[in-house]
Amino acid sequence: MNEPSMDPPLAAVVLALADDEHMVGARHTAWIGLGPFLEEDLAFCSIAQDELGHAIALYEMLPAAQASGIDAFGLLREPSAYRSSWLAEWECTDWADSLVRQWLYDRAETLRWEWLREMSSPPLADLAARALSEESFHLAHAEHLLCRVMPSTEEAKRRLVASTSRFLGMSDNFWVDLDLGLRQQWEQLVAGDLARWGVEGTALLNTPQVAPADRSVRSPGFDAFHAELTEVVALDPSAIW
Amino acid sequence: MTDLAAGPTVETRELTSAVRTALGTVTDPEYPDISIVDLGLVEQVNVTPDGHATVGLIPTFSSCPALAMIATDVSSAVEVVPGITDTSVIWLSTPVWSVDRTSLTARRQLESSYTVVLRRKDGTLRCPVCGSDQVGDQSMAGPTRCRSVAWCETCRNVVEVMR
Repeated sequence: MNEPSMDPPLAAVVLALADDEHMVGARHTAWIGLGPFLEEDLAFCSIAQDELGHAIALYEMLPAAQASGIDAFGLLREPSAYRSSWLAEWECTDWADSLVRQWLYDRAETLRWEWLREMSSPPLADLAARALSEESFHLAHAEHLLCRVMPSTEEAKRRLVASTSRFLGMSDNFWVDLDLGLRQQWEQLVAGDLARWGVEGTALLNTPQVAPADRSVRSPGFDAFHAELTEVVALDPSAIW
Repeated sequence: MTDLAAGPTVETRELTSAVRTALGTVTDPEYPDISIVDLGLVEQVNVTPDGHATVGLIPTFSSCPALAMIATDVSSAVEVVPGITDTSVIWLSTPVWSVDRTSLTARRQLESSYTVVLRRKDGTLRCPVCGSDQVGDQSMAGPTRCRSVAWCETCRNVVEVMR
């Protein structure tokens, strides 16, 4: 079912999405057993599972990953060979950050899958259609929580707006590989969400950029994260599971 | 799909039928007494005259952790069918699985063995324990990715919904 070859510009977009899904999925798993309440624990677990599943499915379509095997490709590349975004890689030790990142990321991810569904042919286009059918749960999760938490107390709003601002300061990094139209659509969706939750988004969307507009530059904390992801495989790279 | 275009001979038709019967014995690790055929996971079965079987499956969710286990179980069940020399299992990206693909048998087993229900066409739920229609959604996130949680107002039982 794999494409024998892939147009290099398309492969670059697929790699960026695959690495994003891998990193954000792995970051979401940090909340397993630690979510602020049971449903959140389960929700982040399910969302993480989806993103990791999508990462595997995308890696399987990449000729470079097929050549080395997807486990080796997904885990054992040099840091500079990853194309994940700072938004996906960022370590969120506060649940507010994780929730805001999940919302912003899934808004963006949905646009990337829609782009792939329109711009590619089967089986990649089929994978995109399938992924989109699974993504609606992620957006509903963000909406159901943020529409209640954002306007709940002054402290909640202050913290969530601060998180939103921090991640919007990584927009150049996230959108550097695709045409500007998608970023504009994303910003409109984000502004619409914020307005619905009682927050004025214009100033937030003009947050100064803190991340480089270059997906080959890893975020602070990536090395420690990568070491954690590869801790087991590094014990014996030839082991069969 | 193109492989299916080759006209089946009597022999391959019989082999295909035997493979389908074997697939009926493969169960879902999540529901160990419900067959993957009844759950609607089997999309294509193709057997060549020299006994090569290809089984095309569709996952309930692309991130289902049981996919590798199901593929192994399918290979094991099909390989022992007399006349089969070789088995390939492929996970298809399309069509997308939906609850409409489940059989009545699977629905009854889900209800009686697991208190798991499927949503009706109109979106409502029927309690698998007491039969009441007074069942409300509680949480989108259930114990697994493929199930959400609802609550029966009448018998006050937690009900899981396969989605």
